[in-house]
Amino acid sequence: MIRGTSWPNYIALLIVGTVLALFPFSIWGSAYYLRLATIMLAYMSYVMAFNIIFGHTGQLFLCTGALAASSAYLSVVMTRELGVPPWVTIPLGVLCAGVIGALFSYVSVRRGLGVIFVGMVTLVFTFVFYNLILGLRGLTHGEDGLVTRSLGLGIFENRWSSYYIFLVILLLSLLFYHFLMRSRIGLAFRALRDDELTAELAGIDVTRYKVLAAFIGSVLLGIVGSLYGYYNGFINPDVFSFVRVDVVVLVMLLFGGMATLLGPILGGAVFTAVHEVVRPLGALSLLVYGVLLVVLFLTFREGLVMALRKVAKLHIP
Amino acid sequence: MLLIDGVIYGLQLSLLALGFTLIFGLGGVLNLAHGQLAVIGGISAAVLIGQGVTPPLASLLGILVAGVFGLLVERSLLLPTYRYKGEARVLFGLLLTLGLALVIDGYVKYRFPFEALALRVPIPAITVFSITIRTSGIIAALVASLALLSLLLFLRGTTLGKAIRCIIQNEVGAELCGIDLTKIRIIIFVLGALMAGLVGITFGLFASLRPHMGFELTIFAFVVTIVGGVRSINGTIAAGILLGVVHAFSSFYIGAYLTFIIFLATAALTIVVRPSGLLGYWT
Amino acid sequence: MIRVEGIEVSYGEIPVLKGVSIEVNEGEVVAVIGSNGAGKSTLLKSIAGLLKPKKGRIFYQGIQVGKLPAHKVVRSGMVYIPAERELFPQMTVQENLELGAYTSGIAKAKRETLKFVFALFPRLAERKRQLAGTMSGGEQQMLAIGRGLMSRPKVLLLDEPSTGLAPILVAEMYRQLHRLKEEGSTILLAEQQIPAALSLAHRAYVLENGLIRLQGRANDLLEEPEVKRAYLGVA
Repeated sequence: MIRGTSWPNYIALLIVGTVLALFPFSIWGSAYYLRLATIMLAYMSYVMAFNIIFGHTGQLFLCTGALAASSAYLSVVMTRELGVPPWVTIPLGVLCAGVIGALFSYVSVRRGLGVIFVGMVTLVFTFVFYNLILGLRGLTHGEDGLVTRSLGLGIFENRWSSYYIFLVILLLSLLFYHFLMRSRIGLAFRALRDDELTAELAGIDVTRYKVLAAFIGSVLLGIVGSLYGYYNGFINPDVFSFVRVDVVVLVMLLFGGMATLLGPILGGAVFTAVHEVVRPLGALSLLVYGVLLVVLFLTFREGLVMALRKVAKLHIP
Repeated sequence: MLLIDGVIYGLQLSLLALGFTLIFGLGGVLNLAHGQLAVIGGISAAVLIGQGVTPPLASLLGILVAGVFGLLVERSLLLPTYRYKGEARVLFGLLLTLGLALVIDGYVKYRFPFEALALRVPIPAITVFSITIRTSGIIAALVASLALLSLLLFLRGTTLGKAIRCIIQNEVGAELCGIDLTKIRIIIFVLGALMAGLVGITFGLFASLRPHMGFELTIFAFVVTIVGGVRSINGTIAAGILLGVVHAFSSFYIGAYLTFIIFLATAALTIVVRPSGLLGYWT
Repeated sequence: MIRVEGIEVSYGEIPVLKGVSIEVNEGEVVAVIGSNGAGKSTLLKSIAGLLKPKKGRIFYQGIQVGKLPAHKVVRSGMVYIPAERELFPQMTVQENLELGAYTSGIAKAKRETLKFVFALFPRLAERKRQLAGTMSGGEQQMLAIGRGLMSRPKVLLLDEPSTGLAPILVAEMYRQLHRLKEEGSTILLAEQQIPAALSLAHRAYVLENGLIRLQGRANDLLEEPEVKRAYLGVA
């Protein structure tokens, strides 16, 4: 129901899907690179979620890592302590993440908090959550973390199946995103991103849509987070830390392009590549990141997708 | 004893946060590299002392280095930010200064990993009313108070100071009075950088200044700004002293890490409960 | 004194002024009238330097000023008083006025001008220690005009000064504007309230959809059937 056809999107998705599906073969199934790529896919999904929360409804959630972690920890702890199989505990973890995210959104909208303030409040949550994990040592083993390898999701022991599982999740979230944005909900998102007050006056229940966006995004974060936890073989607070997840996701989205379909993909791919290039520099890597951050943002101010649109004069999704 | 330490610490926080608030209030830039400016000031001084420069001169030069650096940053990096308005500008400035903070952090840690500024004073301590206070602490407090007072006088008394206050209240109105926003933004950024550099030095007096303290300082400045009110000068100063005291007590009884969380939580609480801050107003 | 030649101004992609030329001579009061969205504010803002025209030129006393930033325009002697007033809410009436005189350095001259403004708007003198944010609409409007006068401008650009004011306050304000006119001030006035504007102005332009529809002496325009219809129907 929105301007233009869906064809560019479908084509883009087809291309992306094909490239990513064939990728493992291009690196001859190398364990190292396959793992790297799998992690990249997981992060792309994280960014997709963040795109819905921040890119479309402007809610600067600086707790994406904590939300993913909440889902992962809940699931893993429940499976360990209660012996309940993962396929039961994971949905519970996901629901938990969704509810927390929706709650933050609700409170923020009700109190009329601006972008930076939402960021602050969610940032506090990140640190509080981190501390909570450390504090509940009995259940979570604090910094040592919990091993997830033997908990029942054996499918993640194979690096090929892991890759394709995360690929499927990514493609499903891309499709979901596509249909979401074509629906009435997506229209509402666009309206309220443009001008919240006008949207409200036009009869759009801003609260409802923002909370919905936060819920959907957080659910996705929970799904990816918990599955990543099992894939990784173990979880500890560091796996989902602010520096590891939140900052990365933010940079990936901003660089790729907010509120676009391919933004998360491109942002994720470029950032992963940069990360690998920068890694051997060790101590200087932060410096290079900083320089890249500055240079990239000065050149691609609205994100890579926008820049490509202008250059190619095509409406890249 | 703790109270005094807290106040001394708080005064320095106030000074640091004041620079941060002014930069944000005038330019709409959340300077995430603010803590790094303090580090630049402190470490420059430390390096100079290592080269044989006398501590007082080294300190002065360190502050100047911070100021010059601030000038360079403002004229180069921040130029694109001013083309945006409102929230877009905040976000963009945030990212650029984040990048800058990473660059500075990375470089300082790489080049001077073991450098630290720890200034020693000839008389270690004074006893007043049976309370022993370190002289270095007193000097730090005096320097910070002097700086704060002169800034307050400047802002209230001089025409330039009034211009600054009115830009915080209404950018368009200020322009219509013939005030050159760009020029004043530069002045404020440099002033903020100088203040940060000064705090870097006083930290060196009071405790010690290490290269990795950059982000921590920025976050503290941020929290103080939020609690005191993002657009309130008086509020920021008051909040700084208050939080300094809180920090002293909390670190002692509860520990540094939790204190950090408490700080952040206080900021979050302020946002949710009273967004205009302690004494602030909401524009 | 002011000469605008064929300026085109857009908000982003949307064109608002599509080729406007006007003139204001020294000592004249010129009104720009037209309905909402016609582009009156845009025209004044462009002259004031708050907006930059895509095409066309703006001259002030023979010098091109189209590219000057707003604060330099003020320094050159043109002061813009927006419909939104843009006061400093946390500062007192006196402080607001004093800031209006920011560009003039001489303290004595400032004091004189302050006296002049207080004489023009006695109500401001009564409330000189009151915070600007706490004043009523009419008082804020007076303060905005007063602040504009503080830099002793050669030209006043008034943007819909009657916005949000009760008729009795509008009348009072226009009385003061008449006084300014008698003192020989040059004023460019954008207004929706046609009768008040046309009774003050020497000449007027009618702006519609970004183009000048009519122009001429204010008295003549009052007789124009279109203008009559507009103000009999609206004002």
